[in-house]
Amino acid sequence: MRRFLKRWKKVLIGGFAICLFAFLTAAARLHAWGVDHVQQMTGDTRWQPDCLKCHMQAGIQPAIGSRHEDPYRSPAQLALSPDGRTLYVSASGCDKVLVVDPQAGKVQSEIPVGRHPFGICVSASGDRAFVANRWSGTVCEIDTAGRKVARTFPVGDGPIGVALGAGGHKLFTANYWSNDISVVDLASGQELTRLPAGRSPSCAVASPDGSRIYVGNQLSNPVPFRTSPVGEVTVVDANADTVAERRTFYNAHMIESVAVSPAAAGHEPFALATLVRPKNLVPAAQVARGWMITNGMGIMDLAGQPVRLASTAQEVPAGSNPTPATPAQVLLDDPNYFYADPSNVAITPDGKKAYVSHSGADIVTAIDMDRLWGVVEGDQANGRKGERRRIAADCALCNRLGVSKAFVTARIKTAPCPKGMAVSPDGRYVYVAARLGDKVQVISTEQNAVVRTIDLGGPPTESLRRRGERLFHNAGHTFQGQFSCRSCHPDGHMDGLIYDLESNGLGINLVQNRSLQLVNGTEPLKWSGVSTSFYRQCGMRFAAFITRAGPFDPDDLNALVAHIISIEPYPNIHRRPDGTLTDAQKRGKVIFERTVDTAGKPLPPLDRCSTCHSGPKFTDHKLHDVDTAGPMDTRRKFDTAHLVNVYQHTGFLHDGRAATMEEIWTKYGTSNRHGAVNDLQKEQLNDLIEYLKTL
Amino acid sequence: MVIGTNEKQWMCQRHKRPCTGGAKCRCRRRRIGRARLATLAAIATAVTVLGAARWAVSAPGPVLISVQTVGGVSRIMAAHGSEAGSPFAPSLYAEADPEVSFDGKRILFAGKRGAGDTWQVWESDRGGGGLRQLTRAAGDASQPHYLPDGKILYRVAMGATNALYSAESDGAKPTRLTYNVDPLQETSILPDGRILASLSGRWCTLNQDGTGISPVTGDLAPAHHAEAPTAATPLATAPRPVPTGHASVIDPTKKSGKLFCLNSYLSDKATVAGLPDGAMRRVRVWTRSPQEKILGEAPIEPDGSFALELPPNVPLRVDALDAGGKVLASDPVWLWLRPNETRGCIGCHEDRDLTPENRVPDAIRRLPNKLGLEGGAR
Repeated sequence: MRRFLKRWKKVLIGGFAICLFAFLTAAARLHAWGVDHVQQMTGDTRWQPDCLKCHMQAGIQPAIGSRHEDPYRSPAQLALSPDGRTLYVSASGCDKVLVVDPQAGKVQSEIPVGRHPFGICVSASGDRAFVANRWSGTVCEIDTAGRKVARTFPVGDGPIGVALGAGGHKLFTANYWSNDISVVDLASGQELTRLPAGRSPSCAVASPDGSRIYVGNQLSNPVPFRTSPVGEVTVVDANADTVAERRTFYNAHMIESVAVSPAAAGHEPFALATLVRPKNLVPAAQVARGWMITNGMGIMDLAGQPVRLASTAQEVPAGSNPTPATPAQVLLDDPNYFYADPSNVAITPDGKKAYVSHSGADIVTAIDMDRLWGVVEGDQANGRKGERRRIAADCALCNRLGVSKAFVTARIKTAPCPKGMAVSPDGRYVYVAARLGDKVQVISTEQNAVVRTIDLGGPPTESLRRRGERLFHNAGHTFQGQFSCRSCHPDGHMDGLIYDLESNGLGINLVQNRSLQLVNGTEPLKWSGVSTSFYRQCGMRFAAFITRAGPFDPDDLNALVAHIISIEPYPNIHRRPDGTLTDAQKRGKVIFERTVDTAGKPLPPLDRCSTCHSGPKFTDHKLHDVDTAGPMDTRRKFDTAHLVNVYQHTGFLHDGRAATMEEIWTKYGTSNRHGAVNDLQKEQLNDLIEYLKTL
Repeated sequence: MVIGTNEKQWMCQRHKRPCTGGAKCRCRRRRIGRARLATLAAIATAVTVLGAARWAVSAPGPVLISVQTVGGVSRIMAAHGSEAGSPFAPSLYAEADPEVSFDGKRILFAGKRGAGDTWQVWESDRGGGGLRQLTRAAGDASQPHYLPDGKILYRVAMGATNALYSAESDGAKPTRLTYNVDPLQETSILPDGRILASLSGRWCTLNQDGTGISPVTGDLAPAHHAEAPTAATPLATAPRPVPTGHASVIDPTKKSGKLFCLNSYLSDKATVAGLPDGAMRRVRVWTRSPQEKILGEAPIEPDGSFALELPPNVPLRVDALDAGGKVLASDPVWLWLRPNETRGCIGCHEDRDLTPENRVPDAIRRLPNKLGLEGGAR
């Protein structure tokens, strides 16, 4: 051996050197190709090749702690006592109501309430406050003098907004998940009735006299496939406990806040509602000029007291005419900059000024109401010559950027994610809950500037997950700040819209937005399964086809992924607390897991529900052709959807064609390839669906 | 010291130590090691000293840059504080169009080595050191800009017109971005990352990859247009905000781009807005190479929409025709598509403040009409 090595020493060394040179050359070329590939995909030179992050399914993820380990306050909404001396803040991050002295700028006490408190209101006498516990399905009545919870009422699923009726005898809650409004008799603490709301009610506001309750609904009402979304404000007759009206906002959704002007405003009483006007029916070929999402506000009269609105400010379906009850809509965006996620609106007591918080822009917009009236009633609403006839919806004003210049008096920078607002009784100050800044900021209505910041006591440092949450809710990474991740995934869920993304082609391969709840571990992502990891989906693809701006830098993307994989699902009301199933659910479980049909004939594995919808999240992570492709699809196979909290989805199948779970099989699955179900009776299909709702 | 049995063999006569004095001599090895170490230390010291000296020279604090005409030649003058300005790059014949990098440490500018040479893009440290030529374009290269993704943008003269190019930070991989027929003038980078330029006397914007050429929206220009520094208004070499980046979907391997319009009847032009519904029946697309020629025609849907798949990287112009082939509306502005670009239009010279209507245009209910492409209509 030694002789061999000695004899061939030079040859071996030469060969080794050649191999090493070849290896290094190949490695250098591969790295150069990787750099080109990543830069081609990202359009950015800051990224270095990291194959596993993008191409390894569920491969690398940031280390995160539990959401509940973060002691952040996350103030969501706030309410002032009638004398304006005490501020009650629902701190959704720590499950408490914080009692704040706005003059001293200090938190006076903390009252533990239910899980994720959100909407809050104070009685006219100031001795009681009510807070909706969104994740507990309850409302806590707080004794403001004793600063403790006096009573807790069970209400509907996901209570998010609370309002008191006339005299303070009845409480109304907007229930997000059960899509209804609970009416609670405060004397007995019993729920009197539930009224049907729109879809995902998000706020409840009483009229000044308490006779009407206005409930804004976050998601669009069900509409035919590929038609415009329709937002709704449900108007409740607080005396009769009935739905008095359903005010519809065409081509709008995300009505998360309503404010009612007092009668002494020098104008007919009116209500303002924040809204978003999406462009989901148009191919998402660009972002500029409001091509994806525009952010605005609705103006409507109070029942029986019509305001004068120009018809060009009112949007109606093509071919129909507006009525006095049709709300007006205006955009709050500028032509070259957008103010994402209008979350809350407040009006000063004299009705002369309004303030809108944009949680995606960290901005509060100040509005001069007199000027706004001039826009929606006056000549400016008429638009340019020819537009009124040419725009099918006959709403020249609703789609016009730059109108805001006529009535916006200031854009006030705030701490991260401004949400709830309250106006002091004298109208001098507006209090803003900065949810991701753990602060309440005080805006002077005279100066239109932040004059004081109240720290609610959150931790001084920002965890990785919290940073990701802030990025998720901020539109700064989108071209011209047009939308945030949250704009389409409110609360990590889905906006219920069907999109025509340009990456798939014009008008083809439509896709329904997907919920992010418990999405971790369900990779590949997207209906096409093209994104094998969150890094690929949220980094390169997101920037190239959605935000049209530079991608997140590596640290920010790491934080964003940390937040997304930690999004938790809402408690499922279809599951019993003890984990047992109802009889119908048990029968449905048998059908879900069956291996033979009703005639006893064995079912091929791919005809069984539990074959593809397997594992802890009911997905096998594979693409399947189950004959669900629509006429505008160029692909046949789709990612197997995970089924966690599937009952909360607003549409079904990859393109949302199926409005209900029944339609998956009764309308679009008649070929019996999306699971063998044609041998089932209707009752058995009902049982299957009852079981699916528990997943 | 005794090493094995060959004590004499390993004894070094010079150091009186066990050593062979040959190639295996430990003392020799040690001497070589020390010499190498000393050399490395000397090199490191020299590099450090030279680097510090260069930094000291090149980073004397903010430099005031101005463009002045000296002897009939455009020169960039640099001044520190209140001292008189001196030529920024004395080795060049002429300089113009300076732009300071986002970190305020480098300067990009157009320069000429000699009177008969073409203008090219040069870069140097803010102190004038490290002068290097970045481009070697056939025509005059001017108006260079730093792009947010680290690349550079510049304009190259091409006969009667010009084109925008981008290249790596060292000038490598020059890529043509625009295919304009009329020259682009007065380019600058907007805070949102778009390129602002004047085209045929109108302000327009386009993305950093050459996509999305369109007239400006709102009152963007000329308020955002950066004026060139003059002797009266010098430019300080201070750090400045980096504009928004742009993740491109351009794929050079693709042989087409798509152009669609939501509603051809939506226009600021009374002659177009006043047309009766259904009057526009076909869209005709022109190109220019170098003579104008028709690429093809495609139907306009009753709702005024159309969708086309067209060759990339060529000038394009669109006419709307009635049923008899008469031109009802003609767009005099040439645009272009980049490979894999999808370009959407809201109307035909509509009010730029309008956003798209949220409805499904008829034209996208079927595949786009191919014009000028293999398998497409002629």
